[in-house]
Amino acid sequence: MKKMKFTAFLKYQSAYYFFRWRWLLPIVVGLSLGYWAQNVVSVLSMPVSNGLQGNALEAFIWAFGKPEIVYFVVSILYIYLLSDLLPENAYGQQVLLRLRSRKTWWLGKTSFVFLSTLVYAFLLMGSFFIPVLVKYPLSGEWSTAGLNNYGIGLGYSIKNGTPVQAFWSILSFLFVGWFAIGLLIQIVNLISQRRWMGFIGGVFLIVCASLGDIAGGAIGGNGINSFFLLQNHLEFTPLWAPMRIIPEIYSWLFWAIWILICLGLGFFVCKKASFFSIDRQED
Amino acid sequence: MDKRLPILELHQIKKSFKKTLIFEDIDLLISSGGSITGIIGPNGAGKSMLLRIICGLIKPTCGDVVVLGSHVGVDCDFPPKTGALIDIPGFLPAYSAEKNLKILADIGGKVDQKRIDEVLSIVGLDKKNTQPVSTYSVGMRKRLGIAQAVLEEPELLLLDEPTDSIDQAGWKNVYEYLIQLKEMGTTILLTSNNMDEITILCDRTYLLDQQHLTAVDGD
Repeated sequence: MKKMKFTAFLKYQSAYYFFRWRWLLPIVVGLSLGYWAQNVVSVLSMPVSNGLQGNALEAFIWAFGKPEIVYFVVSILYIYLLSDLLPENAYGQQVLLRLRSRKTWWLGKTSFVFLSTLVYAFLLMGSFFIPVLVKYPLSGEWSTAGLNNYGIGLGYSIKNGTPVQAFWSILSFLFVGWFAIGLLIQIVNLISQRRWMGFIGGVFLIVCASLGDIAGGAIGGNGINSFFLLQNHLEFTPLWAPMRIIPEIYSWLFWAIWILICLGLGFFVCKKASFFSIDRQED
Repeated sequence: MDKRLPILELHQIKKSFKKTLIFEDIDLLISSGGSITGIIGPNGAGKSMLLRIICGLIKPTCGDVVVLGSHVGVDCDFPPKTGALIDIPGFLPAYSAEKNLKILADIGGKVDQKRIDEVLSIVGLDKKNTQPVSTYSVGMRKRLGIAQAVLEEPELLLLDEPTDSIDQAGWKNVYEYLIQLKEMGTTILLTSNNMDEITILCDRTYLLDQQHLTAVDGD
């Protein structure tokens, strides 16, 4: 019975949150980024390459490894889309009464944040590849232009593996980072009982991380402090600057600790939370 | 003396926000077996807040809520066999009334399609109407809110101003249905600002004012 309730809860959340105009934004942004990236790769690779003129994965690595895009486009869009899941509106409160358990409800919300992150990554990155694949093939090898550091400038990725490895690293760090930030947003909204607080908090976090990048120069920083800086973990930083110095395993540890703290805190807060009257009509 | 089992017990309920006291020393005992109890009071007295506390949606500052023998917030997060319509009813605006109820029924796991059709008919909504709820009038939305509350045939029904926003012709239907529910053994606790409504429907009435709950009819 509990499993059925849980599945029905996820179905309801999906019906309520995904079927809104705003969830077309990742597609629009993905298409635009894809068009931009394939143009950049084509312009940068022209003067240096004699053979293969870049590949689709290099365009992906360039776009989703670029701090400005990671911070100010795709992460902020994610925060915007996830920032109105809480606090619950009147219908959500009817659902809560039927779930009959605050713990189940929080587990459902956490699962939905995970599902939303999957959907977001799929829409954004799936649509990114549409214009890119029109121009470049998917290849497991670095192109001539990619191998030349003065061309596309994928220096770090080239030094540390294949395009496929770089693709999965970028995808997984962004995914786990977004999921962790999404959880934090829900807790902020639940405590503050205001939807915009989570959004403001998320944007603040992202801006701070970006400023850290600028101040820190080469990514990684010095000593133990570098472990606690968000910018060292959210982005894979496959380009020459800023450069990843911190080992990838530290980033996994960072996000694991973050997610565990959020899950625990969420269970604690949801037990105490009050559900007031919130009127909302969706777009 | 009423020897029926209590369905709802409130013991020394107090609610305050920082230094603002909403109410205190709220004691109430309602027996099971079918009755309608009304709570009246000025706007801002805390009537909706009290219903939310009974529902488990808001934690009281102190005091104890017991529904059907279960201590809300201790034995269970939300009271058993309880339906509620508090403040403004909420919906999935892009879906029909029937679909809205179906989603709640799936999550609750207690009622089937037949019951959904029955409830829609009781509140005067056409089950064949596939228009999204976003196109509904305020009155129609209120009816759907009542349908949500009674969907699982609760033993305790909490209604916050149930006929507010419903036209006068609609009042009669709601009154008849509430009286019918009472006769079938449902215990109803409602709030209202409409004294006619209280007179027609309620067996007992309480006034929530000046932070305290007092019996109006000497109960």
